[in-house]
Amino acid sequence: MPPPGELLKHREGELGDDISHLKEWAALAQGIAPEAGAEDGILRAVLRQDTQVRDAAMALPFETEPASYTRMLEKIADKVTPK
Amino acid sequence: MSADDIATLTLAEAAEKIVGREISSLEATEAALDRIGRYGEKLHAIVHCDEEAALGSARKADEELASGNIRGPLHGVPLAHKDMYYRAGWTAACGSNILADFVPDVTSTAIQRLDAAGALDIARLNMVEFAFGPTGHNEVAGTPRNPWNTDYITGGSSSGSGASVAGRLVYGALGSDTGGSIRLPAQCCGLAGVKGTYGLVSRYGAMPLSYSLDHVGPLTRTVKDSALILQAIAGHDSKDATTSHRLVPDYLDGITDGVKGMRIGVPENHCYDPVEDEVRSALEASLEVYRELGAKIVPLHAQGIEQANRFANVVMATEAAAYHSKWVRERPGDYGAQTLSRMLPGFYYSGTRYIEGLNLRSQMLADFCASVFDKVDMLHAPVIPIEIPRIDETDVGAQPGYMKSIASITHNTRAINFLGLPTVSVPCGFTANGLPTGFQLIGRPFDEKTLLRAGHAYERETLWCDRAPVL
Repeated sequence: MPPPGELLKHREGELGDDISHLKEWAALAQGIAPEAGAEDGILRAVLRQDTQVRDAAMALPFETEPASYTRMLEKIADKVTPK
Repeated sequence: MSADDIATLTLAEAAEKIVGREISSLEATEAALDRIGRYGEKLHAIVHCDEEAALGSARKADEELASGNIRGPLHGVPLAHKDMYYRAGWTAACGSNILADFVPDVTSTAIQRLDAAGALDIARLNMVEFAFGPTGHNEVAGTPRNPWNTDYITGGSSSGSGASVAGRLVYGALGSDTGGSIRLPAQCCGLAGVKGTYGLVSRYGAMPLSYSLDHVGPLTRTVKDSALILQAIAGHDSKDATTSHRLVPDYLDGITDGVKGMRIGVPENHCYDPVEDEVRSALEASLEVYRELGAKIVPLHAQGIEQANRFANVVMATEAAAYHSKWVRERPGDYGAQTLSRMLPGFYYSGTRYIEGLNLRSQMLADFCASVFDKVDMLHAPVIPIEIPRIDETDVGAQPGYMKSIASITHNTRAINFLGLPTVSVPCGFTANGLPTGFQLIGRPFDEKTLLRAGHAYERETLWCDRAPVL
């Protein structure tokens, strides 16, 4: 897996400068309406943080992945089953 | 033996008699086909059945036996399965219009393992559309009928599996359980059913509904029969990353050892909140049987079961919506109204809520196990807390309270899927409407063996499983 910084650059490149769809989504779906002039900075920060979080999540064993839950069941079985 | 006498044997008896050459696989298969011919349409349980192929398989099984080749413990026994288990070259419509022409090119691991154990696969069985519904209703493929009274629901989603096994059309069938779909038809049709621990049985080659909650398991006439099928299908599969590497124990070894000294918990919270009087009486009577057999009954608080129940809804609907997203957008008119209405909330739950649900699952499991299995060996709980309703009572818009009665049907099953714990469903009598009722035993992760032993002890003592519906 590439280092987080590399991934971030790659994603930012993919996303480009056009964030009009994000503005529309934020206003309609999330009820967010930043003041004129501030919206670019705010939404770009959201994008960056979102990317950083996803990058960090990819580097960790992801608990929501169903196979991990099987391992959890095995661990608890060992704990609660009388020897 | 007459054909009907052969058809009414248990799976274990049939397997023993075939290998002992008391009956042939051909006779067992002819008996099954005869009943499929006589009652399949009445029960609306069979999707497709190739009689010639079934008879050919039975003859081959007899030839192998004659030459001393016993393939496995299910040698020559005719089974049939829910129409969502893929066999290469067979249609798998999954109870839907959307997949009416879907012919998979792979065979599911569970089916391959039953083949290896020697079982015959003679038919595909009707089911709830895409396995998404607890009553058995199917607006697009037709609704299977309960053999005990055809006006009543079979339970779902393994509706055809329940109807076929209870109607003595086949000795056993695979069902699937995402929110109760093995245990509900087991109770409605007076059968045993097993939903093993999440990760015990491979889901490869089975239609997914909600991959965090889906389980594969058998419906049979007795707990011992379920143990036989579970033995054949359990164990790690490299094609399903969620399967456990744990060694599968011998489920029949010690199954007759009884329950003396076992501690059976009865939840004081959630499970008995809405239990109708007759069902409660049957449940209490079953606990009395366990007491008489030497088990200790322990009331306790099952921590977190309410929350698990709620999160199960979010996870199931969200994962189902994701899987069906393309078809829902492109072919919404091809879905039945019930299926679509169950799926649509999944498009609106937030991603955050879904992730929270799954992340909390491990903590909920730890809390639940600590609150229950430090004190007892298993939990005894209702499956369906009400008398089995009629088909027309639970159809869409049938009555103002129908949503409430449908919700109560899965009140005690969904949470166990969310926690991934093993459970065995056992019949425990009949209510005044002549329909069966039952209970479930919920165990420690991967401790199916103890549950099967306790379920078998009860059925040997009470013999409810010997009663058969008159068709």
